[in-house]
Amino acid sequence: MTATARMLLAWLLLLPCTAALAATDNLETRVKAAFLFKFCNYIEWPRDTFSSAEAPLVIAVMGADSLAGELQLAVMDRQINGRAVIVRQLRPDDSLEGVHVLFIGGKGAGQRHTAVSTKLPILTVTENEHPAATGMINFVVVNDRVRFDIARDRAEQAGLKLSSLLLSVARRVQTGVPL
Amino acid sequence: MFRRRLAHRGSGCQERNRLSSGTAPAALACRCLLLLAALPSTGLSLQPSPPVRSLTELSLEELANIEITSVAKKTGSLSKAPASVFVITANDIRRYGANSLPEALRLAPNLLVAQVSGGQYAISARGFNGTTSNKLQVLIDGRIVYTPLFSGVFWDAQDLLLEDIERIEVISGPAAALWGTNAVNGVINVITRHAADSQGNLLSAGGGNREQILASRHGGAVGDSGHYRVYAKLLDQQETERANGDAVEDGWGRHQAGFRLDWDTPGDSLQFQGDAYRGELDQPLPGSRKIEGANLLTRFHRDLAEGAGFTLSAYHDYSMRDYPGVFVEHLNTSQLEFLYNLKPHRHHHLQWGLDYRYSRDRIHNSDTLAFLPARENLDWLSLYGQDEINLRDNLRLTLSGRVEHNDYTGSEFMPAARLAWTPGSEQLLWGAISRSVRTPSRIDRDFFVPGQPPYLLAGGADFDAETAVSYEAGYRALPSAQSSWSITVFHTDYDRLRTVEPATSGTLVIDNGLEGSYSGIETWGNYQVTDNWRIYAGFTALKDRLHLKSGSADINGGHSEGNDPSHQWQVRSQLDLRQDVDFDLMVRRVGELPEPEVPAYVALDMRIGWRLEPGVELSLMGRNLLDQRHPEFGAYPSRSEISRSIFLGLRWSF
Repeated sequence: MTATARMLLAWLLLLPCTAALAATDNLETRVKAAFLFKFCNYIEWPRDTFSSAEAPLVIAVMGADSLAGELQLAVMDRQINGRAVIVRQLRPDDSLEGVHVLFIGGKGAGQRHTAVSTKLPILTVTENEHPAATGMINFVVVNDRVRFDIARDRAEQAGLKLSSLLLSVARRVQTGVPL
Repeated sequence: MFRRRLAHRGSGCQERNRLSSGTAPAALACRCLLLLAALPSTGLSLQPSPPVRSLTELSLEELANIEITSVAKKTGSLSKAPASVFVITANDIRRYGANSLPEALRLAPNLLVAQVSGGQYAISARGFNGTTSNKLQVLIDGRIVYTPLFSGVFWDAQDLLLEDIERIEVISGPAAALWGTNAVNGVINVITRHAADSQGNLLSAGGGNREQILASRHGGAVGDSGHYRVYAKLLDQQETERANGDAVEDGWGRHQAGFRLDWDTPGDSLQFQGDAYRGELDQPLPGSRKIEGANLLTRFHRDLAEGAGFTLSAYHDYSMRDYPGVFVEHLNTSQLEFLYNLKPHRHHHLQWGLDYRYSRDRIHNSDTLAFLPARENLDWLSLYGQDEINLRDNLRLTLSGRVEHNDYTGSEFMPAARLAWTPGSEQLLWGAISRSVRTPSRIDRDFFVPGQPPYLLAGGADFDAETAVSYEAGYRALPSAQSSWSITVFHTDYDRLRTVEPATSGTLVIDNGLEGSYSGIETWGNYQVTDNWRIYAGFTALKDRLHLKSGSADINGGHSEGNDPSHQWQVRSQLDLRQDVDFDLMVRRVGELPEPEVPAYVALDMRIGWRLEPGVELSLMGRNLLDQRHPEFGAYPSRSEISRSIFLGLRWSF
């Protein structure tokens, strides 16, 4: 199957989901999806993370189906630094092999994955208030706006480099201590 | 003119797209459409939220500023405003390293900013600059800070914790219909952060050969929907020097503390804030000048159905100024304001407001001068309104007006009409005609020299309101995701400007003997050269044609109302040397001032900021690096000169 056909199929499969979204008009989800896509422009992964210069960038989404749908729409036919972008929906037992960005949705779940993924060169993004369950980037809603905090140490310990542009937009950048 | 936003938080719709990564031209169209949709008050409020594809075309900063829940809000997009508006962002202030409000205002290319002496500044827009500049409306979170004593601002009394400023909107040109009588030549609108955006602790300390600063802030939450911050700031500035190197003895210091409390529930927001300050300004005999003041402000906003909403605000402001041997002024001002906006029809966005202001002053006069009567109560009642009419999809007409009643001249009418055409989503062409009025202040009517008869200057019993009719045209464009620019040309006809006339009795009186015009051009832009380097540039040119009216024999020959350069320019560079190191430069040139003559000067300001670790920043600043010292205002040889300065600062947020 060609890449275009695969995209088309994915898009068709997601259509009902996005239609539902349009009805609920969930701007928060869309803004978060857009952020996830854009974050990739401001992250440098360790050199050996990708098998080749053309290897796709994989964004995995766990526990946030509607966000995965939006993200799928966002990345269609898009490239980041010459790489195609693939969105993968993960179940709690799936492997994190080959994942570059992991979004763990919801408030409660995902602590275990956060703990594992933040030790790998996987940009782990959460939307959790619980300090133990936040990733390297954590979305917060402040004043009706989606903002994010960055745990810079965690990202750097995992071998990720965050651009200063990204840091400058963060609501808070913290080291060491949980956000 | 864009809408008033008494409901504190603005759109954050940046004129500059600092972090843009999308480059395709189509992306820009998406961006603009999206901003329209995301900021529904621009007329598209019933549209569904934008698709995720177009959201990805926005910069990170713009994404972070999209309101995700509200459908109808009071916020308007500044980049759509048919006026000459420059926005100083929090990031600009931080990277410039300003330690006081007037210094931060140097970032606006459409303002004339000159330091006169320690703590004293002459600031205006579009000319008439002087220590008693009187054609600017200045607001801090909606609180009017110009004094009815002379319709100008005592800049030494206006300060904030600069880290808590969200942005400063600088409108050059008339905006009296929405912002009030004094907004003849411009508005400076300082907006502080919502308390929720200033959480945690901040400690800022620094010192150098010219100034020392110590500031701290603590922010926290109250319950689920409340946030607060409290802050304190100490600022000390060393004395300036004369051309011959003698000290002027104008060193000064001030301390200030304040708070802000915000309470938000869906549809409602409530805000309380206050500040108190005290300062001491050295002067040679008969001793130091003292200032103090305090203010308390509250504001309630509620969103109503179908894009409507209202804001109710009230404040009280107290200030005291003791100039030994000259005068002591105690001033209390209270204001109550109601602002309502509604969308009665899909092509109309209406806004109207009513405000009442009351001031009570008490002046201890001296042998030198007197304000008579020594006690005065003044009040102002205003009704204003605006209708934004979408004539066509890309053509918008804004009609606005204000009627204000004051105790000196009765009722004054200030109408304006603005037309905005958006031929493409990344271009805006606009034109405006406005009438504005500066009503008399105490100094125009009640000012006597010396303090007892016989008077040399015997007030201005007949002084009438000054009027201005302005014609403006502007063009604003976002030619690429990396750049934006703006140009405005203007011409303003003034009538009944202030003069000092010989009276038959041999004394002098204040009158309205001057008329004429100012024309000029204001342009600025910015360009993202590389990912880590952005440059800004601005240029302003001014030409005045003022002349005395027939019958006037102004003792100053019509030259006392302002002392303006024919042009000024600035270029700023914001470079991220490394991920954790900022390097900023600003070169600015201000042309020669004619009378009294002040030579043109070029100043170079520099700042290196190094984030040792997240939350800890060490910075080194240099100001006026090109010369040992230079004058910015005033007459030789008694005037102050502003010397080169070095400042080392440490900022710790935790």
